[in-house]
Amino acid sequence: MFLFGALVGAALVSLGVGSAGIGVKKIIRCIFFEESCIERTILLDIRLPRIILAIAVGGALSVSGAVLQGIFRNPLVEPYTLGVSGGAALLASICIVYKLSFLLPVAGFTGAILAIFLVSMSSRKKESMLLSGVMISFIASSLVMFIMAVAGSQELHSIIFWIMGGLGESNMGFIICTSVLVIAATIVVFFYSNVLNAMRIGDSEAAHLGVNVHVSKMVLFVISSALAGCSISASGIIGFVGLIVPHLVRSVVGGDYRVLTISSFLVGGIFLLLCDTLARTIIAPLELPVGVITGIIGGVVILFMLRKEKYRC
Amino acid sequence: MLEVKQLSCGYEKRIIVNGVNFSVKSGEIYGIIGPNGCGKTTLLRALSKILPPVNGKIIYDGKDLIDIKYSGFAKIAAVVSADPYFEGITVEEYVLMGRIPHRDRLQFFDSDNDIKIAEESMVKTDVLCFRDRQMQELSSGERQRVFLAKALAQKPKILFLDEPTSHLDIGHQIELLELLKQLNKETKLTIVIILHDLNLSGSYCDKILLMKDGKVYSEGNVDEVLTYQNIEAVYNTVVIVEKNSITNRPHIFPVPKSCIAK
Repeated sequence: MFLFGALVGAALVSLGVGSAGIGVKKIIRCIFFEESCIERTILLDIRLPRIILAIAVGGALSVSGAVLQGIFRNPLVEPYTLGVSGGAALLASICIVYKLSFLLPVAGFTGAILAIFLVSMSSRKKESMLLSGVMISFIASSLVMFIMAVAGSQELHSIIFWIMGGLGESNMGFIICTSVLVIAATIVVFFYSNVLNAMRIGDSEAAHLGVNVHVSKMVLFVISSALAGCSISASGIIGFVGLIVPHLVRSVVGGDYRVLTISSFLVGGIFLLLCDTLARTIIAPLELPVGVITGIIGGVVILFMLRKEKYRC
Repeated sequence: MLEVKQLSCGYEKRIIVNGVNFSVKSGEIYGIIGPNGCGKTTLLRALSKILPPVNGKIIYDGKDLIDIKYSGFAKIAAVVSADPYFEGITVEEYVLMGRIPHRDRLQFFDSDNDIKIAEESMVKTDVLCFRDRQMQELSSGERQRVFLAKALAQKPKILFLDEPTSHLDIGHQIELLELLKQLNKETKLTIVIILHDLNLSGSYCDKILLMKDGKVYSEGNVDEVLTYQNIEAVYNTVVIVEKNSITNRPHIFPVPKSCIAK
């Protein structure tokens, strides 16, 4: 299973490179060996960061979704149903209105973390936590709408684009920073995979198996919101990945988190990479927001899966 | 093995178990009985470190439960809860979860030893033949044996069970209790078991704790606890207690109200 994931991942990275605009696979392969080529190398410089970002963001969202679904034992949970996206969007739009666009990544991250913090403060039981997450999303999105209503048309445009999300970030340093954080967080999650497994049979049962449920939950909760925050700060709000990918992976490899974590990361990366490739080629030279593609593909896939099998989480 | 001193515990401000004292010796089968809502399960939750005591102490082999870590405690004690969650897991996966407490932080996957122990406990409980089935496909009797297999895979010194016979027919009830008795004899496993069926507790337990309203009403040997005076006072039901002629253990017959009027 691991090999399978890694292989598909590698194959699709090359696909992502190949499928855009001018590049043909063979020529690109040449470039790897002949450094003197001019245009192609530039293309790689633009595209490669985007590919790395897509994998990091897709992986982060999926792992975060998988972890949250495990903590809540609820298949509907993902970073965005817990109000993370709402919080991020709110702070980001405030930034845009006050012409502080350079602060956007920071705003996205702090917004995400703030929302999670509010959610966990406002409810002590996990059932009500989900509900308060949805409520905070609502409040935040109403406030965003309010900001949009009073904003000028220029700002309105950038708010809308930020909310729709995209992988256009070009600062290589920032991208590497994000990827390193994401990978580190995923490794930490992997260390908790036995704990997450124990939680599959309930909190008390996990405690019977020697898990300090309270502490582990807090740690996992913080890590998954950090993962979501990272990806939001790098790419805005890309919906649906955190929801569908863990579902899809779970239905193939089963619920064992030792396998699920890594597979989710790989599949999430692959999924977002493909969606992004599609988004920027389908109406080239214009670009669709990735969220459009992930939403449509994701929704259809889930509906299809629900029809095909009696579904388990 | 286990010593409970003046234990009180409950949820939020509501005290459910109030000043309970008892002790369980190593190798005993210790029954806890009492009417619904008298605090049996709450007591078990406190004994298994899920619920912190408000007052009093729980001592395992001389060590206070508060000072034992979750991970260490899971190597001493295993619990079969009344209705654990089990959807979407195969039998073997479920049983292997019992090995989680024995892994150190860097061991992620099941070692050969883990699998060997899981198989042994599946053989003991006779569930090996459906190791690849999903938990929700099993009957309640089969599932109960899987829960037990998981607990045994933990290799505990003491085993707690919360009404393990409640959804089972009489054949499966006896089968399960016979299995526990056998484990108790062979491996000197200490067993603390909550039972609803007074007659079963009478025939399988070495000692019994009878609870009423969160307090100990009576504690001791089967003959001392299962008297008609005790049962009538605690359960508010008229009964006759006689001896099972083969086992020489007490057997309880309820007397319908209509017959008492005469």
